[in-house]
Amino acid sequence: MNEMKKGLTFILIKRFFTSILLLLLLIIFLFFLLRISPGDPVQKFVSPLLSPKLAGKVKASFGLDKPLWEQFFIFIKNLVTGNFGISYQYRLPVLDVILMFLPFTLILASVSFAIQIGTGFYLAFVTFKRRGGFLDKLLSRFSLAVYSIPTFVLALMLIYIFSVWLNILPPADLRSIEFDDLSFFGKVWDYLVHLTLPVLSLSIPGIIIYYKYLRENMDVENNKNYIKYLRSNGYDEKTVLWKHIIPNALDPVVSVAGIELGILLGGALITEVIFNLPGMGRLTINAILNRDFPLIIGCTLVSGILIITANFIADLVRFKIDKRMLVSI
Amino acid sequence: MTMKKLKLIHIVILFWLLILIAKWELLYNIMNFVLYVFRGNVKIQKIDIALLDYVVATLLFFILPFVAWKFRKKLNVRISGASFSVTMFFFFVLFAPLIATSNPAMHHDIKKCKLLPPFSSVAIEERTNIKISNASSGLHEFYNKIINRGIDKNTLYLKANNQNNSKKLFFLFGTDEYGRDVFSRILYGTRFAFFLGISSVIISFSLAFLLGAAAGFGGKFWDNLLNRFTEIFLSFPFLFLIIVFLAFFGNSFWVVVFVLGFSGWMGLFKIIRAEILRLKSKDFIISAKMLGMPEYKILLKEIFPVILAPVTVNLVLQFGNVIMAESALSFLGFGVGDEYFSWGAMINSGQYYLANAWWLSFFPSLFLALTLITMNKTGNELEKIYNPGSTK
Repeated sequence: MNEMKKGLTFILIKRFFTSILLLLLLIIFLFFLLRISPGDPVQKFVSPLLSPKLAGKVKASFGLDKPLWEQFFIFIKNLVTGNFGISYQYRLPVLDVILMFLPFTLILASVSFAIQIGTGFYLAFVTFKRRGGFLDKLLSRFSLAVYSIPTFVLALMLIYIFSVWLNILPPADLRSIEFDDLSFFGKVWDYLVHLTLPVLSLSIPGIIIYYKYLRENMDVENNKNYIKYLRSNGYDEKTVLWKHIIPNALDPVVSVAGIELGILLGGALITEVIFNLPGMGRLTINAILNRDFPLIIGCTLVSGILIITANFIADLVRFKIDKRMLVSI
Repeated sequence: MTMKKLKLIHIVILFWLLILIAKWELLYNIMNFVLYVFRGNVKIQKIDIALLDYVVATLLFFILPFVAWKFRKKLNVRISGASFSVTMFFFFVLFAPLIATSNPAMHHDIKKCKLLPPFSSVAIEERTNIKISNASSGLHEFYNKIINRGIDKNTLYLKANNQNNSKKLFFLFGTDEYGRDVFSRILYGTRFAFFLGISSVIISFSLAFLLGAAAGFGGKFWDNLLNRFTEIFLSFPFLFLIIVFLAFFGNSFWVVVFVLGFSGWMGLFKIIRAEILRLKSKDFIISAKMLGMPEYKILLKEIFPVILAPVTVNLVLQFGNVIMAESALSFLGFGVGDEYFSWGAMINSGQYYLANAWWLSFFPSLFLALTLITMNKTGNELEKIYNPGSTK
């Protein structure tokens, strides 16, 4: 058993590093894609027609005047030492810029992930206990519809209902204008009020996804023979549910959770754009729009690493639940 | 009880009759025009896409009953929500010019028609068009009568002299900030979305089939490599890369189609590869190999038809995903641009009027959500047909 466990951890770690290697290949591909793309990032700051000398200076400061292979060599050298270059837009090291925006994304992702998991599992349990009840019928009828609605439509609906129609929640931004004059609790309340709609619009699809997956798997397990055997032998419902049905139903849910968490950590792009929030998604979009080459690559790398880590954690959890995973890899 | 007796064919007939009753005048005019051309009274110097659109839609409209008669046994099934809305979208896509109440690009009189709420009708003085260029009169009349073109440099708009010429315009879903009819725009948007979805699903499928064949027939090395590749591609959020590509290399229709097609092959690839590996050891493949059939022929003639059935479910789901991705891209401003009627772009421009004109973003959102729900539901129902054992 111990040997098998060791083998599995080895496989998982190998997988992790292969993913990292592939991410690096992707980054290199992105590097060349950006360099061969039409358009000049210097034009954002100074027009070459206005002052060719100054434009040349700016270009040299970006390191874009060197030949492509030399740029690539410098890029690789910097990557190894953990230096991603200097952002054109912010005039700061890329890592510092990312660190300014990353905490918000981490907080938003973890909060909405917790809400998704908590509510989704709770709904699945409640409807499973009262099969055929009102809530069960309602959810099974409408879960597909809610699941199909795209995020931006959901966000706009929420904004219309809560900000335009009822006028109780702010439609965008992280803080209100008079934020600095508020007391400590006022500040906390301000954040809470502003984050309600984004968190809601991020969480609702996820809640439905977890509910659907868990509920379907629980139904499948519930119809299997060993559960019928346990029931007919007089095991109480609680043991059957918690010791047998849920552990068996959890496996696919965990891998979905890994992907979901990865997407959330990579920056909830559309939500951040709609609600005007300072997170990784909007940073990346702005970097793309401003042709900020080092920042684009830095953002891709950071969110890629977060995604790979999330999947790695999901694999570990799956292994913890079910040791037979070795066969499936 | 009555709902149970309603069959799909009844819905098709109902829609057909509705269009016939509502638009008989238009249909009559177009058929007249077609006869005109056939007799040689009108010489067509240049093929006009909008005109062709009308003619093709009308011809299809009159062919449809015969097609329905041919497939009457297949259409004789009980309707469900999914099949109803699939039929509806089918009609919208094929007969968009017939159903549309006005030209989707037509800027109506902005003094009267700006930001009108849904279900409003306005009386507008009809303007007669005078063509500066000397086009032949039959075609010219047809243009004036039917295709009320929005922008035509060769046309002068004049106020009609007699006041009786005012006509009533009805806007089912209201108008937008330029006085364009939202309903017609959404109708043409259906067409656009479905065309985009189908073309990019075809690209995804052919790519996935090629790679799946390479993985299934190419040996262990290719299999492993492609699997690794698929895993990283599956876990990576493709929206970023798509946006990078579109932002840097321009965003025309075909670029969007190709980019969305190339980013959606992973799930299909996994299924196709598994199917090919499963089929490889089947008797009919082995015997085909023994008989000396070349590998590409085995792939195309033996494996491809067998694979098509289980893959259909995923193709439908992928179709929904592509439509959603395109509208998300258009919403962010990276879509195909203004010359196409994209729902995402409509929602995007409507969100600035959210406080005083909710219909601008509501109706495109409704249609988008309806399409996605339909696709997911159709996928589920197809899966029930193909694997009846699963409890989904």
